[in-house]
Amino acid sequence: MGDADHWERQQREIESYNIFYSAFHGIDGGPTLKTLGFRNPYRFPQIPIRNRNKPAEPDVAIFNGEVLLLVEIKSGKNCNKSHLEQMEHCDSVTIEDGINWLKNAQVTRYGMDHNDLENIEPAIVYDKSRYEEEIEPYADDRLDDIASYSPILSQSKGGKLSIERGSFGENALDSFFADGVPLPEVPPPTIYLTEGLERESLAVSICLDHVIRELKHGRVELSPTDVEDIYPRRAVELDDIVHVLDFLDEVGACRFDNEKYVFEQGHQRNFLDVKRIVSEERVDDYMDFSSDQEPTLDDF
Amino acid sequence: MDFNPETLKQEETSAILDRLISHVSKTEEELQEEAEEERKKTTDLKLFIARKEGFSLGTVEERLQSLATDESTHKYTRDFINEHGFTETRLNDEATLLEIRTPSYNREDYSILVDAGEYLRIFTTERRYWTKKTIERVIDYLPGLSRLYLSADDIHGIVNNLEEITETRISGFTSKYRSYDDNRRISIQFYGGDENDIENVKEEFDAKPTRVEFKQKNSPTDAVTGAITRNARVNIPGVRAGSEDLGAETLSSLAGHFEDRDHEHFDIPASPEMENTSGGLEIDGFTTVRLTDTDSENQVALADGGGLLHEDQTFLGALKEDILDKKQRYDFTNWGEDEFIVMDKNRSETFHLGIDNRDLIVNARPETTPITIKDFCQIILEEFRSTYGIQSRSTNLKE
Repeated sequence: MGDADHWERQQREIESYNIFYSAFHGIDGGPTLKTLGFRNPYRFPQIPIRNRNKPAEPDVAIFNGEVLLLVEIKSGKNCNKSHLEQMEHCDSVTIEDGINWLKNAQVTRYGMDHNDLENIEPAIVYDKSRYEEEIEPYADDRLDDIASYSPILSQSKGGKLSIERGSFGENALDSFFADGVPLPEVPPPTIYLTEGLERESLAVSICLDHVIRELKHGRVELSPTDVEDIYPRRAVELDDIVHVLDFLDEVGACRFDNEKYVFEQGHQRNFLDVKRIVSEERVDDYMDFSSDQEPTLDDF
Repeated sequence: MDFNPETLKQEETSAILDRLISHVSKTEEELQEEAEEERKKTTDLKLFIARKEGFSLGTVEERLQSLATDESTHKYTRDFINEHGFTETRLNDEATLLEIRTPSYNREDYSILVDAGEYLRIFTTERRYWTKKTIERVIDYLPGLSRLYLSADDIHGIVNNLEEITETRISGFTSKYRSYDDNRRISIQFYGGDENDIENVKEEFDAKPTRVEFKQKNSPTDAVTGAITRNARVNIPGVRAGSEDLGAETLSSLAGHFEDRDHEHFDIPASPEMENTSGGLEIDGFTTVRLTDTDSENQVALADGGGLLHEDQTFLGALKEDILDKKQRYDFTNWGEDEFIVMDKNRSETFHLGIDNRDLIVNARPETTPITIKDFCQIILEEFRSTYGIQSRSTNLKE
């Protein structure tokens, strides 16, 4: 049946992105990331690095006209070796790589010039209480290693986004994040999708981020490729989309008709219910894919 | 007032408004007689304000007809439409005259509909007894129109804004108190005292007005009397003869401030609309509406015998039980322990709802519209906690 808290983990991850984004919204009268000129965060970017096979894939990239911040956001209670590798990787993005990516992302649309890029700063953000209780006490050395590439920040709902260890290459950022950005108690939602494109969050995201929004204009018809276009390539695979749409069909959120998945008014209750269903059972378990999906060695 | 369309046609809106005001214009003697006999000589001039959502003047008959033939329309609404007759006559570019006929009582009720950009102002001099049965129901039923609703602090503020025009004092108020943690339903109606008396009463009972009455001076005497309610109704019972211009200014100020505050509270300049671009996923921004107790220290005044409950669980439980579960209008799903995605079934829209201490936090979702949030705030203020104030804040991520 998979891990019992499979949904809690995904929800935490989604929540951690929302908390980070809420640093742009802040609290009434407080400083926000906009105070530093940052705007238009890019979720799930892929930044090619010269001389490396793999692009940098931070969770969020933000630019203020001079500094490009590559932010990795963690919601778990571990500090894995992969965190170190990710930050090392982000740290290896060169100015040229950054300029090329910003150009491709068309930051000029928001009144910024990619050629003005002065500095690239990686940063990793942990959940405040998990950082204090479960990470810092057990991963002191690793945190020091990570801090050699990027500062370590923490965040919490109703708390602050602030620096815990290490430092940025710029004093202005250091002093700003030393005071921290006060965060709202109820961060506004952004999108309901995890980086690991788990099928549960994909099911919830299709319903909440897309179908419900469109439904007030009548019914919504989606093909798997329509769904693919909604999300960054990095985030979703066609295969997952098909499985998830079949699952939504199975739970009564839509029906399959003429190559399209059709969502209709009157089934709203079912869309809202998808979150509850996936929190109780994994999509694959619900569909019982293990028995009729990919053949295993035992089948031969 | 004479509502003959032939007379009113081609008149400027200001001239039509002057006619409406002259309906309540009274001489010194008439005003004195009113005071002595405690009986009004005319009906009040009334103004209702609604936000437009795709509504345009000249479409009332057609809209009501299609409502009446739509099977999904509530029977109550269909019956109302079928039992009345409607004629909307164009008066000028920005105003129409709406005649509502009630054959069973052999009567006609008239209203003047004036376009005000994103809002519609509806003037009438009919009795409240009849406006409730006619024009107010039309406003409620008409798709594309939604009557405004503001907090107690707002209507208090709107009356204070009248100082911009002339010296104004609050001459009375009505307050209806209601809270999720208090079984009592308290109503206060207070008239006749001076400013200090009113302040004392308000403090003593933590009274938040649902209706505020005012008197405006045009030295040395009272020139315009009026009252406003939370749900955007203005009543002008009298304007002293000679002060008609002040009356017109007052109406325009009240309507303008009602509309400004509606904008301020319920507009959604940015929502988390997402777009997949070459850079990744981009999100437009956020709008948060906060329902907050502005002067909660006064709440202790009600603690005796009120059974004030203090656990957060009670608050959350009451919110779920009294509003989300009880109202047929909403479906919801939990997001975490104390956050919800709420679906407004009437409007096929969702919003995100959370709590911060005893404040309610409403975050707009991509499809959320101002009226959906306004309607929710109205339900909360009327059925959950009448003392909340409304604050809104927005962040555009792209600017």
